[in-house]
Amino acid sequence: MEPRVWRVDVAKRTVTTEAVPPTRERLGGRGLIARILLDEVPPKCDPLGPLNKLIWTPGLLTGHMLPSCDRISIGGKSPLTRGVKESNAGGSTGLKMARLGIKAFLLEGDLPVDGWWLLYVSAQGGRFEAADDLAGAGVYQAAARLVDRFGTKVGLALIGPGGEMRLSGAGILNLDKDREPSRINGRGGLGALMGARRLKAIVLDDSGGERPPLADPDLYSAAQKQFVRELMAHPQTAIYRDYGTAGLVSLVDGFGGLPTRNFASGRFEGAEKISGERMRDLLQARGAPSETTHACMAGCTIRCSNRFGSQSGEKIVQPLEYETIGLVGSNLGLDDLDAIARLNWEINDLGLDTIEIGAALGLAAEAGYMSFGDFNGAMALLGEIRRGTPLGRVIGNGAVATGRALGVRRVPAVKGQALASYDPRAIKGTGVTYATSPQGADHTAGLTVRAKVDHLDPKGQAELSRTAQINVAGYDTLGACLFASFGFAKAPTAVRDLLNARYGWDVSDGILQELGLETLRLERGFNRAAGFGPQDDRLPEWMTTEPLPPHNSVFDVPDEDLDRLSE
Amino acid sequence: MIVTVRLHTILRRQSPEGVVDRLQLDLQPGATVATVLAQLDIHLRDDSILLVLNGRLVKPDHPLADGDELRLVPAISGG
Repeated sequence: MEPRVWRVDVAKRTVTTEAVPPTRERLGGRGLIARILLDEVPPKCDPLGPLNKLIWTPGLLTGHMLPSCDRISIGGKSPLTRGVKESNAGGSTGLKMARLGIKAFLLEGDLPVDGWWLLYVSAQGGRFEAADDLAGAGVYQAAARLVDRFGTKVGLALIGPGGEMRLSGAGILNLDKDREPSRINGRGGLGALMGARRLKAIVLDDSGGERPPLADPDLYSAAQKQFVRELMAHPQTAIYRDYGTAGLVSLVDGFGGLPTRNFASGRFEGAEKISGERMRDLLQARGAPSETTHACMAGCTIRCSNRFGSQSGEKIVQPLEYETIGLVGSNLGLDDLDAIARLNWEINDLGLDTIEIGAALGLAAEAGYMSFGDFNGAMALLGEIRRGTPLGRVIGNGAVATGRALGVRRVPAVKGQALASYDPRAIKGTGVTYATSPQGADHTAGLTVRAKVDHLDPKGQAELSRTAQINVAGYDTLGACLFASFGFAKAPTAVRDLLNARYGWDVSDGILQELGLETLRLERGFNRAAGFGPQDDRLPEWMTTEPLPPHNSVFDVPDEDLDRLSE
Repeated sequence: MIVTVRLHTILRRQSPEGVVDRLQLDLQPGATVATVLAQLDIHLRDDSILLVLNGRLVKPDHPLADGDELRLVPAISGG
């Protein structure tokens, strides 16, 4: 099945396909999104207007169930940052799109004025169906009804009420291998772009699809074996399997960088109660349906995900991840994993990003609209979002909107997007990434927390961040999970060989960094044309003056160091 | 001198009383982080364990003082 570019116009209800232009053949995932945005979207356009496009692209390696390499990138001009945005997720969407020969899938054209639609995509093409009956439905109920209607083998990408309301904190959710709509392209408000075009869901039927062809199956097989062997042998794989990303709670709290009560402290007195260690003990004691390890996509060998069940044996949410524990837990002063899991389910069901909404709730707490540590108060504010009240819409539009509306100055955001669960005053390399990434403050744009450096020393952090940002942009273009990078790091020829074997190319050892650099160059080009300059590559001013306990440190990486990364 | 040692994730240990993730060690003056690693029979491999003393990353030869908190953290990243 020859890869094609798909163009979908909801207002006209047309689906067309075309050949992949040569300039797009050697990109996928995040890099291809930046290329398409530069080629086709006016950088200064209204993000929720007709000139913006919402783009799905599988990574370059997606389509073969190579462990941890079947991710889907979604992107467009962000309503949150007003710049370039890519957010990637696991689940089955990437694999199914690749098997349907979809190189890129563009939602474009005029905005429909009424009705709600779904698009059924198969090897025969695309078909619109009315979806008015799903309007207003939460993500979990909508996904269950779609699976009932179209069968258990389809993939889904859908929005919740948050996307329908075009809230800037809205994401797009995908089915995992258990058909749970829990794998979210969460960051940057991309769900609002889908809502603006009144598309509730895409249903992916790949039953007539096929694995993408391989130019050199023997070379592919050898590279795959080497990669999988190294990935399985890596000590980090065992940690992620047993503790998941929640293992970071103790680590980041230990460094004094765990966001606590709207980033007022980097150490949380309840950290042990919400740690990965505690979660593992709790889930093991509770037994089924709780699971300490779980795969988000078929073929994953790491299985960092989990299923969080209650004491009485009902499933609450799958998975419960570190960033959510940080922003919805310690950042709200909550030290109860059950409470955090229930808030996580609610935010997922609304189709919103737990990081953005957790940060917004922290601001609401600082403004007195709930108390820190008050689970019922947080749930009540999420209820405001579901009802679409003015206060709910403010919070659903994210941290910056909430801070401005409620009069809170201490807003943890860069380029309009909330910081993830590492306070940059204690983990300064990650602060450099927050400040300078074209994506805004993003936990997937280049973390530095595991580097063997003094995280409080401003020296050398810019270089550390730069290397991390380049590598991550490369992996995001491949469609590889960040945790696959441990296997690739120990099998240094595998990326080169897998690409050459799949596509018949002749790329060299440095291909990962070449893809990363090219991606960042394209993204910065789009942002510059959208009006961004060096003044936007900064952390919030208050983080450079307000000391963070326990180290009482401020963010003091010099502006000149930040500017060097923007060049 | 008394030093508190916190064992993270896979370094936690099973004991008849349950999971142990916090120890208080009584060490001789002059003890370093490496002394603790040797006492607990923990071998550093590659860059797989972060040594975090009172919230800051240190090297194995770093000296310890009474009241210190040393965290031994198998390195992970990402969220």
